[in-house]
Amino acid sequence: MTVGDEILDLPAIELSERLAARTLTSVDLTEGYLARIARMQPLLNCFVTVTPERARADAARADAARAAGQQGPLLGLPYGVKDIIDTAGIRTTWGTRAHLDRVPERDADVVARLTAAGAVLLGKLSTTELANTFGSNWPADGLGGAHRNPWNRNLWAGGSSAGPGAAVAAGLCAFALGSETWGSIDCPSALNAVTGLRPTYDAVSRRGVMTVAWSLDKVGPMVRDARDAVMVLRALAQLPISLERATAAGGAALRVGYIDHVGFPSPDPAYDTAWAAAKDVLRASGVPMKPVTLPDTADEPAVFVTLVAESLVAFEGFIRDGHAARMFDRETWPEKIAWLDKLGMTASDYVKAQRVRAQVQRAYQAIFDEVDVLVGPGFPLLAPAVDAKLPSFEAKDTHFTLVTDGNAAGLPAVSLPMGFTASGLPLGMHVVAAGYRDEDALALAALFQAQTDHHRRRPPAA
Amino acid sequence: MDRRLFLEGLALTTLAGACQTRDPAPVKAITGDGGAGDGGAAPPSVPPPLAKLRGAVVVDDLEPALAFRPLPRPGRR
Repeated sequence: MTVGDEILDLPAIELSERLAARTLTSVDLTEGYLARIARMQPLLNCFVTVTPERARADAARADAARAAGQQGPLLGLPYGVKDIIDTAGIRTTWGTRAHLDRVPERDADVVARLTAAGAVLLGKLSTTELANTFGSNWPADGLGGAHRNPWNRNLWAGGSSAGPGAAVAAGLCAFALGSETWGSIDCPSALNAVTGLRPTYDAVSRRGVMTVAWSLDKVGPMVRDARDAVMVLRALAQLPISLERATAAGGAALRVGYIDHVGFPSPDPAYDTAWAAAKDVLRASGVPMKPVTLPDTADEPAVFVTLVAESLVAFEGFIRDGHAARMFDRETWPEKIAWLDKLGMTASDYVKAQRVRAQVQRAYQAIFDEVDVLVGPGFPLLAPAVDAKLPSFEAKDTHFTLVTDGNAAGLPAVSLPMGFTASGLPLGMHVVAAGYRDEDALALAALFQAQTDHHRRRPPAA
Repeated sequence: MDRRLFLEGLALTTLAGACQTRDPAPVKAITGDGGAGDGGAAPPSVPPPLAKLRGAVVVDDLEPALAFRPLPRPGRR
């Protein structure tokens, strides 16, 4: 049976319900996505590698298992993973020409969990080179070319989880896995109008995932509906995280703190009006809301120092083996390193950064004694053009506090669609919760999505 | 060359510049104390990311925080 676009665009949870009711088969759904990928991949470049044979085998196995009585929310659901996440026997490039032939021997833990849950692997999704570490400042520098945004193919899909963001938005998979070290789920979620969960640090295994920075890296789902993220996190989490209240009803019982400014100029008039409207939606839902002042800490340099120090060690072998010389080379490797040398980072900087991160944790613990979640306007920019260099950054007051603090402390967060500009570009909203209270962030997102349809709007490219 | 190259959150930092370029105000140089200077010609002695960190007071507990401490896991909250 041919599966139409109206089915392929559904949230994963609704696809799961149809599979469970056996009104839809995994084989048909998978064929539908593969056909759409074949049509859209040349336009968007969101896959590095498509795995049709693997997908068809997985789907047939899932349908057979269901016919034999097996159940499960992810059974037969097709997905893609960011190409820094290892897949046994399938190349995992880290988004760099230096690793075009890198084929892992074993699956990352997250892939193994999804396989065990019966999910169907469609392929590997694009990422900026090394997930932005030491990377290029040109959006065009992606494997196969620029990672294009389905809302406007002249614009960038964001980074570093570009492929997961674009593929989920364009309806090329039921769900995707992305990763974040400092904004890499949040940014492409906002720019593509998808819902992204950055889980609590350590709640999801990082084994088999390219390391950017050990103490900052997180793997999380990127989906079309907050309820999808609940479903996927349940399969991914290596710790017993409660998710029972991660529903719209659970969201209505939350105490909400909000911030109006994230430290950036507004990127578009619609950003402010969408945020004001979002607050109205939440107030109308009956949740108590109060303004919150965020702590003033050295969070940004603390994350910066941590990232630089840890990534230089993490990529030591990559650099030593000469792979850096095969990266996109608009700036040479010596040029990149020269700048770092000028910084003069010391061991005490790293130690101090970790102490600052503990300060951030304590400050947010105090906030979360008063409220359950913090919500604010999300990623503060619109998607930039794919054919130009990303603009320079010199000033220091460009602090995206919620995202930086959340990553510094290891807090869970959800980015979800908040609205659109007059020209139809997505705007995101950001929700942060206390450690291991991922369900609270998801519950608020579910509550918001129960009252709005931004997340159901589909891009022109789909 | 600037710190963009080293941030995984490329979009957070480089794209921060996208916001800034919408503002016609001139880009300011950063002085060694972490504050915005007057567009000075001399390069900063301490780049801003480190200046604020080095100026922070973080000796307010006795924990030997030499490494990141993940948040308490469920069951130990």
